[in-house]
Amino acid sequence: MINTILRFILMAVMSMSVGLLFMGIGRKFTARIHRRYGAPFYQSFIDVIKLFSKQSISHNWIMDFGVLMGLAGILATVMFLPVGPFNVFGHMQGNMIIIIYFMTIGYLGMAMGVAASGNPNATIGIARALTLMLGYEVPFVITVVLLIFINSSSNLSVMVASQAGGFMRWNMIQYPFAFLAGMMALQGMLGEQPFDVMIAPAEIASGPMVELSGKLMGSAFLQHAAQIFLETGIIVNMFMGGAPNIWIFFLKQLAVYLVTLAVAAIFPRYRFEDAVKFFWQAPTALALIQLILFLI
Amino acid sequence: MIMNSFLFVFIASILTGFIRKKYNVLRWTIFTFILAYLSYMLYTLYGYWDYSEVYNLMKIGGTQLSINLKMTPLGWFFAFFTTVLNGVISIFSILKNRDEESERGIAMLWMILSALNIGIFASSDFLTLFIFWELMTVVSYFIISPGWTKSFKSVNYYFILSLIGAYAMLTAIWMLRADPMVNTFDIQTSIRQIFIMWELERAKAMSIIVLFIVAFFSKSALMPFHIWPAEAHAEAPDDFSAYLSGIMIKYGLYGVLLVIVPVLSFITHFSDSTAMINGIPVFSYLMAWVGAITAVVATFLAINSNDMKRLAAYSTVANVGYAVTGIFILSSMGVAGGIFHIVNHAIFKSAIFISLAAVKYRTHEREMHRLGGLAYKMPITFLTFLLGIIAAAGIPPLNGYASKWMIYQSLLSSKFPFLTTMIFIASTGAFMYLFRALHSVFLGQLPRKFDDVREVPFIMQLPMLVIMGAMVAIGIAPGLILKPINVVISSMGLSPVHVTYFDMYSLISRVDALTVFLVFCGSFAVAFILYLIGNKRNHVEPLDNYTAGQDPKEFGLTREMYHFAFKFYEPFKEMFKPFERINTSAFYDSIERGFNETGRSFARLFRFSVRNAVLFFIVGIAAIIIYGWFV
Repeated sequence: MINTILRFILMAVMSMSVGLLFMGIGRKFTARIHRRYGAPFYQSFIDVIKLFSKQSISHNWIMDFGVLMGLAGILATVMFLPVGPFNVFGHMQGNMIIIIYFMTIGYLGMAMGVAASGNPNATIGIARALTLMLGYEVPFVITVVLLIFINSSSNLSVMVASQAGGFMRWNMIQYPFAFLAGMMALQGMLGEQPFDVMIAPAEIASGPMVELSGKLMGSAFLQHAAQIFLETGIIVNMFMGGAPNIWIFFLKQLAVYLVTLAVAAIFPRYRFEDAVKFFWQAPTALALIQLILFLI
Repeated sequence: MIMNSFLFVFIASILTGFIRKKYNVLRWTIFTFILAYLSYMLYTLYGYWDYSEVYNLMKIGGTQLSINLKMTPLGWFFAFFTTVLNGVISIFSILKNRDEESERGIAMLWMILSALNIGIFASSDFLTLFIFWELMTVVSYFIISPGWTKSFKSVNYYFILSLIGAYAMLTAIWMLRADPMVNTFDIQTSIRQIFIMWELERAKAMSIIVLFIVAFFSKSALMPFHIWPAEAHAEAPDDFSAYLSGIMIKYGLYGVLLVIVPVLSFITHFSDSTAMINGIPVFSYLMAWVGAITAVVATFLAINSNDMKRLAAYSTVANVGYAVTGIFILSSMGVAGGIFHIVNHAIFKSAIFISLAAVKYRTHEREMHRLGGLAYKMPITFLTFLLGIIAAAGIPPLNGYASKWMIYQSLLSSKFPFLTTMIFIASTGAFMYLFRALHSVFLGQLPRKFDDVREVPFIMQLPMLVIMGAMVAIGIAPGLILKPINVVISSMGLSPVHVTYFDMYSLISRVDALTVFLVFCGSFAVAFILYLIGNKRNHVEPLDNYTAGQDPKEFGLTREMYHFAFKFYEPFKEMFKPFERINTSAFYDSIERGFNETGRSFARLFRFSVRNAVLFFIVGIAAIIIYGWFV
């Protein structure tokens, strides 16, 4: 019992700090692609500490409650993610269906919090984010269903075990089309370009973030950090064979994250109907091809 | 005992008609007590699975017509559960109907309806089922449109589609009765005989099954009958909408579980000549697809509706679609998941409709873009709605996810990848429209005219609190409902699913609902500690907001203008422009016009000339005489 609680706290701290570190490295990485010098890799930590030490404004209790629920939802989802050999719970090692549904509570919380601020920019951002979600969820779900079929289990740890035995056994090599679909879906999930319609600073003033300040903004930052950790972690578990220890796991996550950033650095933004249409065309077709190849 | 209680309810309902308008509260309190009595009556009947009542009516042509009532586990489960839920909803009605216009008739009819409700679930032969079924349709018709013109127009969809269903069912019943092999109204015997008929006369058995499917699907609003809830649920009295959406739409699913599922399981297990897909008959697979397509289509229709009650009604149709998909997989996981989803949907949809009724009670508005910001004024209503949509979107740790999880498990373990994907898409879409309702009604800017809106009185909050408690309790301990469901599906000949109070097991994974709940609480605690660590927050007026550096007062910005709710998903709607030509209600309207014109041209023949009328009369008489000669 005490062990579980300790693991729980460790996981929460780990997901947020590793996520922040990735964000920092990512900023440096993008800057170098742009031929800039870039902020130091620990900049995100400074940002969060600064935000939590500033006073914030809030329009009502639902705003605070929603932002908290957003962070809590993503943290709760991370608890079901197997990180190499590290698991918070012995049974339920990454039950994918629970993970997919638990992720939604984070989105709901964030959406509720920023919608309560009463700023139309924020709500437009949320409307776009939810519509985009309907886009990337289709290829992602087909990919997940495919992997569940292959392994006859919806647990991530079983998927990891089935890829043991070297690079060539990874699902990334075995099921390349599904991997591509998964990566494209990840791009949408993280809200990186070309799918950053919900943030879109030039159009809707950073969308959901427009009214957040101080510790609420800090919570949103932490939520994004944990989300990076979670979503890259899912891809690593599903396609890249997990890892024997947590450090290699982090490295693989970082590799996945940097690939998405490299794509993001060179693409402009889609209009969001076009983004949804894109998700329903190319990645969905790839995932379906893989599924049909598996079924026949 | 069952029939006596019906008589008692009937007499009580007539007596309440004499209560004067001044004492409306008394009338509706009596209603609540009657439902409590009916629940108690059902409670005492639990376990008496061979208890039956027979009332002979008359003999027609050698056929004894009688009312047969019998409690089966399936019927008892539905009857007890719906009566208790109806009782909870009726507490809300007490104050809601205090100043309503035509509430006297509604009260009387609704009391009778709650007795008929039990009658449907207790019928042990098709004739009894049909009698109760038809009475239910007629009675609910008058409740939905108590003399309001607008609702009269929309309720006609409901009535006509119900009639189509009723005729289909009557035809099926008489085909069974007239068949020398079956020759009975008894449901259990008929099911076995339909299976034998399936082996011998495939076409006839098939047509009987299809007729029953039409009857049940038209009641449960599956494709292509999916439009009536949006019309009828939206126009019905607000508290009755909860009953319509939570309970009445499930009659069709009860029929499917009662008749179709046993026949199809017989076919699955004992028929060698039937074409199968992944171990279920092709017909069953097609019906599962009907459910999945209904779920997706209704979800997209809900995303595009601006009226909050229509949105909730389409959401109901989508949820019925999930349940149907689960049930037609025919595995015990699927059927149990389907029944569980029926129960969960009834609970969370009551929460949603009751909170919307509370909003309408205070604001008299239904269009979502005219509302907004009510969460700050009506916190309990807001919480009820929030928990309702969390459950409806299938998010842990509330009750909706448990049943959705089971439906997914059944689809995945029976290897149906495309059905699973369809259900997932519908589920994500559900999140879209539910959030829209949450934002447009409860969040955002509060319009100035609602500045002095208050929370509803405590009596109306009470059912909300009860339903919230039920949603949380079932979410933490799904075994509370799944254990009784195990009794039900065992009686249907399926093996029970493996559950304890907190755990659910399937072939491919296991969920511990208590852990899920504790994880949620724990991570909320972590987030809250971080929140406490942070510097203090200052309250700022909602309109004092980011407006790109402009002073809102200078360009006359009002709160109403700053609330983004109208055409919320407009670009998404644009994407589906090519599909807008496919309009089901326009199709039904064109049929209606066709009937009207034909009728009018017939009427014109003899309305304007006495000679034509006499001619018709004589030709008619002659036809009858000639028919009599030849036969």
